[in-house]
Amino acid sequence: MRKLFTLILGVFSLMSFAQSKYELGMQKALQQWKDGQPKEAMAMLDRIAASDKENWIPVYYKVFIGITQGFNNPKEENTTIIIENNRAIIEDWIVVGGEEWYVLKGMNETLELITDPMTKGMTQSPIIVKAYEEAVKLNSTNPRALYSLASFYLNSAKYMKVDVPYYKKMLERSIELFDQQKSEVPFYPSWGKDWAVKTLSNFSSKE
Amino acid sequence: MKALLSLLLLLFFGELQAQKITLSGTVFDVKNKPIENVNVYLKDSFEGVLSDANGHFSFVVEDTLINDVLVLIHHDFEDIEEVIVTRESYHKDFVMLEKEGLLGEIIIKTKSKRKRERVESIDFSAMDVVSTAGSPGNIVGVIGTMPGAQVNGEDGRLMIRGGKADESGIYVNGIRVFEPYTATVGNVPVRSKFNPFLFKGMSFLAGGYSAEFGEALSGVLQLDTADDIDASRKDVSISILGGSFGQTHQWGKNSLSYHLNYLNLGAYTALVKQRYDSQKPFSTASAEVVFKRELKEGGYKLYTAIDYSSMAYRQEMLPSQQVDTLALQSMNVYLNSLYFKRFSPYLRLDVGTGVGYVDYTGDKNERHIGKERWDLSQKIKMSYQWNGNLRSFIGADVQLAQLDLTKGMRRDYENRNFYTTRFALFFESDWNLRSGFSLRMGVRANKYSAISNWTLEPRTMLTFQLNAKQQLSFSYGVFNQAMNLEQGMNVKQEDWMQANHYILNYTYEFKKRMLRAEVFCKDYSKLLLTPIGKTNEYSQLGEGYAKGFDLFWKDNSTFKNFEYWITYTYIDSKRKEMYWNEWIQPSYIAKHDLSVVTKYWIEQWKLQVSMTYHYATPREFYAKNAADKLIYKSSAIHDVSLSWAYLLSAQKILYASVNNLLGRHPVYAYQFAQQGGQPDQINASATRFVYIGFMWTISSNKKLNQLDNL
Repeated sequence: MRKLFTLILGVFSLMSFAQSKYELGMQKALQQWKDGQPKEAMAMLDRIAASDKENWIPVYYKVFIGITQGFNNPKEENTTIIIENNRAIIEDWIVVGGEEWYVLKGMNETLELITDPMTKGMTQSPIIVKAYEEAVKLNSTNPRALYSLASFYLNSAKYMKVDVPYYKKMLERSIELFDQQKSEVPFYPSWGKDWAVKTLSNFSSKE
Repeated sequence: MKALLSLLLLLFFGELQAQKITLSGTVFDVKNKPIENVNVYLKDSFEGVLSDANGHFSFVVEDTLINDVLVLIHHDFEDIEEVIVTRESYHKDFVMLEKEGLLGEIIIKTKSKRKRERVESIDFSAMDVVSTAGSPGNIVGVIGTMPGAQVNGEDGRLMIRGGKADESGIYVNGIRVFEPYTATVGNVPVRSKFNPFLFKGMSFLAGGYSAEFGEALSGVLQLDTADDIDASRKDVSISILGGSFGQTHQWGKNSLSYHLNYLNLGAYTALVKQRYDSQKPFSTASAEVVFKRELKEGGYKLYTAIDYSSMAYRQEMLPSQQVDTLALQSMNVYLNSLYFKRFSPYLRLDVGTGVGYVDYTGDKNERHIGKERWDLSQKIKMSYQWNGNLRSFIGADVQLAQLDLTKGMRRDYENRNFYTTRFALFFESDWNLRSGFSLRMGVRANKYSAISNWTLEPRTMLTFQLNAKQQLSFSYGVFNQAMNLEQGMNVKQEDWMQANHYILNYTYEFKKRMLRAEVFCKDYSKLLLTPIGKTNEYSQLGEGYAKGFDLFWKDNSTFKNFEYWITYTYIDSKRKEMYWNEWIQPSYIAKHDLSVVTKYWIEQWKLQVSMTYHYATPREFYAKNAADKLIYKSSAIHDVSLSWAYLLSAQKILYASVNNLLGRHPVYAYQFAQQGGQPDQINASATRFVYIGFMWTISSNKKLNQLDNL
């Protein structure tokens, strides 16, 4: 009995030990972010990234959190620095990371746009659209790529004429894909469904 | 079972036994200043904390023993790793060294440095140019609303802080533009020739500029085409003055754009009454080609432009009732090429070439001028980043110019030829000194074929960063300029014309608002004096000064969808130059100059409305004959311009603008007759100028094929 117990305990602790290093760190970071501590979350992701230089996941979340923080206060002076730093990081990872990083690039450039929509709208729009289109080109079943492209167009409908039904259809398709997504890679990005649903309902209620 | 219980108990007990170990300390830089946001953590467990504003960090680990590595990381500093083995609380202070020589770091550093440069120059974008009322698409028109710049109604060229238009240099990718304006004759105002969308950035320096540039007594305007290759697209635009078509083709790492443009005032002048009779309305046909290629660690950019303009008209001058007949024909070719390569993250080479050709004939009454001019400019620049705090560049610049001038009255023409070479060497360094100071020091040596002496021009600027928002800078420089080719033909030049600049600048930037105040003082020496009637008695004993201040306030964030800037410039200037060997205020100077530019975006209507108000005090004019001491004053300028840009879709824009909404009739300037008497007035060619246009951009990849599987 004792032997069995120690064996079980041993296996368990070994397993949890194997998991702890990376996964516990990631879990903690994402939890901190959820708890409204983005700064701490980003610091944690930095630590994880420093320990595993080949893995783009922690860096991805760091950039992602930085961008979402920027969206909350685009007029903050700090935002320009975040955008510039993100650009350098995205540049480094975009070849390895694939479509998810193109989505990130589009988001970062969108952040740049909303820091000053009046002057940057015209020059930034093609850059953003290009990044999202590239993401769709690399994987046309990536729900985040479809959602990002569609919502960028739909949100620009305020400023210009947009083929709204077409992009609404794209948004609906992305929601279907969000439900089907699964990945072998732990912590692979999976965000977006809530936003897609919200964007869709915003545009449906307007009609 | 008993055993299990005891084990559980032991485990629990062990848990209770786990100690709390506190790790704490403070992080400083080498100057003993605390560093905030240092990520301090244990390598194995990722447990850690960020240092606070006092550089202090402290975190608790629940363990009996720590046998780990304490890591300190920060974006701007070198990492620190410290092995710790402890059972008790641990405290240690750390000193972090600033990162140097890392690629990522340099990019960031030069970017923030660019921000520092913004103190002296004012940057603006193509959108600023297009959406500013009163200057539809004219780069120089927008600069006219910036501090230190002035553009006069009858002239249209850029003048900087009491300098003549000749004293301003315009550069594309660091290469001089020989003929930046459309052709003119008589008092027809010119426009800038450049399509603002070709440039990623435009920056304007009202004096005290870098040693990289020369031959401009007053200031420079720098235009840079974007390094990135452009995406494929087509642009079409139609307006009441003409139309244009452009196409960009991108393949691999290349992009080629061309832009064809035809403009004819015929239809417009037939509809709207002008002050003159046009026999042949002003027309221009032009083409621009931009080629870019991305190379490994570098790139190549080629810009070429060709244009042909012509016009002929008659105008009755008032009050003399003399009828002036004016005609011009002009052909212009310009080529600008830039090759750049980064040999290492720290070393960059730029090789630039400019070629210009102008063939011009202008007739005013019986007087005829024919010009054929060639220019060639070659520049090499090497930039090196020594470390995070010091960077330098060194370079050489050669310019060859040849002018073939035909001048005369009633077929009695005289033909003359003139050839000049200029050579310049320049070197400049930028240091980040301690505690917020940075120093730029440069020197430029010039040689001009017509002048025997070399000149040496020291240029310097000291910047003090008071805090993240405020900067103070002082710059001093010596600037030389040779006479222009036409003057050089008539006069044996002995020396350079010279100006010293002293500029004190204060900039306050916060939350997309910017306040900029500048006090300047310029003194001129060795200007050309040509006493009237005694052309042989010319000398370079002329002198002058310009001093004053300007204020600039730009705000993009206080009001939603509303952006505005206000500029005020005061200039006090007097010169002894040309015909006047006594101190007078030059006729091109307006003592007070105020511009208010506003832009409002109306979301519901997808419409941008812009209004610009420009005010300038009257200018003073004197007859060439010194005996006539009478001062003629031009009108005060009150100009209100309005423009609308309506976005039909992202790609389609409908644009309309009106100048001089108030319908005023200002006298811009005076024209003095050879025989003296009451001078003729120079006015705008029509009370208002109305422009309506439509722009359409067709992006080549409209909807991706990949989306078909939706």
